[in-house]
Amino acid sequence: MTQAVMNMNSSKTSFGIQISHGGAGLKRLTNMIDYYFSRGGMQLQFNVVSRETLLRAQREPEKYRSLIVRVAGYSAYFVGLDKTVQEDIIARTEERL
Amino acid sequence: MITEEKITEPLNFQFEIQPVRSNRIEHMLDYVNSIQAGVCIDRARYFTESYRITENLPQIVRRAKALEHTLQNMSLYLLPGSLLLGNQASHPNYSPLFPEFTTDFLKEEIFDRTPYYPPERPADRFVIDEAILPELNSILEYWNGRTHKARVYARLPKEAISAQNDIGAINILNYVHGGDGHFAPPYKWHIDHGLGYIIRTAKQKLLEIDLTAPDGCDKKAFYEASIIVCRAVIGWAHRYADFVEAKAAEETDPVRKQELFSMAEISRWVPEHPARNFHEALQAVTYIQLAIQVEDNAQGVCLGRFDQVMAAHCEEELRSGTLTREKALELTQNFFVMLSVIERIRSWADTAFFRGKPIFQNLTIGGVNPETRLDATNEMSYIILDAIQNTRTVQPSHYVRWHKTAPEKFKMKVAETIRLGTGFPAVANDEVYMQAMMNRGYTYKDAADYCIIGCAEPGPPGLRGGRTGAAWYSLAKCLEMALYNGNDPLSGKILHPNSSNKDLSTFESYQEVWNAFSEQARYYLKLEVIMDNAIDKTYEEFIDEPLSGIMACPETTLERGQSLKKGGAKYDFTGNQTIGLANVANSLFAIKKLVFDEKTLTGKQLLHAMKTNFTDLTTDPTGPEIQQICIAVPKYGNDTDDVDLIARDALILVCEEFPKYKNTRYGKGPIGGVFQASTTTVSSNTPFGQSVGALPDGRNANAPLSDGQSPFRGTDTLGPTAALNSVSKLNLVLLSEGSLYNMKLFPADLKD
Repeated sequence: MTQAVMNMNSSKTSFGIQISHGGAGLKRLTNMIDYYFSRGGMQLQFNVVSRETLLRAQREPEKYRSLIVRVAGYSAYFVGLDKTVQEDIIARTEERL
Repeated sequence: MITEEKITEPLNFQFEIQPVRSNRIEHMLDYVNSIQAGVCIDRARYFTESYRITENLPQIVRRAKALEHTLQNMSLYLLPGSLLLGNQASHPNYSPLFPEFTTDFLKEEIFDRTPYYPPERPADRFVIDEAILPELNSILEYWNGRTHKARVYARLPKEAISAQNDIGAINILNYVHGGDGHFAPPYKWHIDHGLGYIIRTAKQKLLEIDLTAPDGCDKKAFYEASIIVCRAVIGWAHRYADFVEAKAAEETDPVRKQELFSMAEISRWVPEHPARNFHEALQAVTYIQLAIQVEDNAQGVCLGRFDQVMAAHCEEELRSGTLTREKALELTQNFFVMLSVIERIRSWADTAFFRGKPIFQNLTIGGVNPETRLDATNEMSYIILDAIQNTRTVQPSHYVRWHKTAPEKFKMKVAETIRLGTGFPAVANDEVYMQAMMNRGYTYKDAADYCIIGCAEPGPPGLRGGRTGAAWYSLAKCLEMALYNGNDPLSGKILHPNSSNKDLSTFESYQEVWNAFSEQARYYLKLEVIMDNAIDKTYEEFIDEPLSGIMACPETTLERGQSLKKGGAKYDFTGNQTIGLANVANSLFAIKKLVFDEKTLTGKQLLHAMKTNFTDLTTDPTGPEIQQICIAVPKYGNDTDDVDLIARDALILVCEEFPKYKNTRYGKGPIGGVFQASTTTVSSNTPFGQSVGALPDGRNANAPLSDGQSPFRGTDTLGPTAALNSVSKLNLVLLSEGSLYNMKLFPADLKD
């Protein structure tokens, strides 16, 4: 079951608009949660956002007013956060599934 | 259709997958989002009016009367198209004022415009109607010298205040500026009983209490206050019934007219009586949830296991056909919008700890049935996930309880919701949360009914009192103090030198470093306990909340005649929040490896580099070179036992030390009555980082610390499996106040 988690060679670079519901990507995510919890993990929370999107939101906040991100134990509108917290979120490791 | 813009825009599911909303919800959200956050004087006015004329009454009755007066007079509004009623302030997104907690920041910021006038803040702004200023000034004058904050500070030893203000190792601002909150009312119980039941029971209890007993007076006051506040909430609902009836009379659209009449009818029935259907149940919850947040500005008033709360009405009505799934979803979205307009103005200094103005109204779904131990998901669980995906408000906040037999369909739907990247829902592991709770004395059945409160803290709705979120505790600062022999490099204050009287330049072994760290960690932890108990004692004596108490734990408080603050809950723990674990583990390991195992650097060289923030070019190696050496040492988050086990040991130290201390409810009835640890940070890792200098892990002075128990940002470089392996090495079952691990995923990986 860890295979899905360890498959980090995903190299998708072209973004289309075809998005599957209930496909392999989502399955990798549920597998990852199962894996962490099977090892005694207690809680997980996620951001699903690329560094590039966040940088663009910093440059053009008006276009990204609705963008919600996870801060710590809560979520907030990214453009409403102050710069230090924005940078903290941007600098977090972008994990590949 | 693929537009130009979509091709160049990096994939983000919030933009890629548009929310599906009815016109009603769309218009309601447009309206709410068009209103800037502001300040409302209603609550401060009516609370203060009442307090001015009730000096002679028992404090809990005084508070009940103040809430009653407020609910009788505060302005009401109706969101366009809304099917639910209730409000916290005169406008959506307006924050009521709570001057009984503190007046200082209101005076400084609103009248002296220091450091910022709230409408002109760099972030977290609030508009203010200047016409309220003269009245506000008079309100603040009344409270001056009578506030919760003044009373707490009068109780605190100078040492504890210095640990907060000068050194920055602990911080309690959140609980001197407002109420404590952090509980989950048993909403299923409330919608099944109605507030009328509480009134009848309290009246009966008043006939039975023994006024010759030592606590007779307290019990009498508690029951009287309970009756006043329950009647006040019912009366408020009746005011709303009149209000929408008047609107209905003017309404020209016959469909809306009928809706308004029907809403009036609902508000005449709930929350007084048991809810008869889905719509009534949601309306009852809305009134209670909002009234609690008029009583005080506490955060973390949580909705419990909401798919369980609503399951019976939802399934029965879907079966009988009196409710369609679309209508149930729309009502749930409407409910989310009602909760999304809650606001709290914090002092500018305090906003750094709570960037983005979270209110922490957590809503939990999933998990098991405590009786059958089987999966508890139902249609309402899926309706809530659909509502999260399509409403996209930052309140309420969402959690899923995840367990071994959760249906695959549910897990995939949760993953699909997470993929939107709103951070909702977070997932909690039933097995570990329940074990952690049972380790502190919860029964299996009660543990199995937990929901998430606040950020990540567990408690069964209706059974947990106390404060799940207590003071902040910077473990990274404790380490820094150990490395400087208790002499704070920032403020120059010395509260507690190491008993070895050594610092990083003179420690002779790694064991000596660890011992000094443990000693400083225990010292500041004790000061945190002192602060928390001073706060709780002050709440108990001056701001014992009648509505919050009776709503949070009706069964035990009613039975015992004791408010929450006096020990009315079945379980009671004070939960801490530990900051900077990854920095501590990484720094301790760097010292062990570089100074003692491999002798790459001397302790003196490293300490000098820290003092000069890795900038001194005159040393050999230079400051920047030393920083690179430090950064190259393996970090927590990459499945390296040497450093991960230090993180584990540091966390065990905290988790085992806290429960040695008792809170103010110990021995008064609840199970527990002790402190316990969590790794929730909110955004406090940023302000706490500002008071910590450069560390041996290579982190620069003043930079934000690590959040929760996550690896330090950017240092987990071997992929998610390695990161998860590291984090799961921590002895998480000891973390009975909750665990917080933030992971950022790359959107394109979830596309297929």
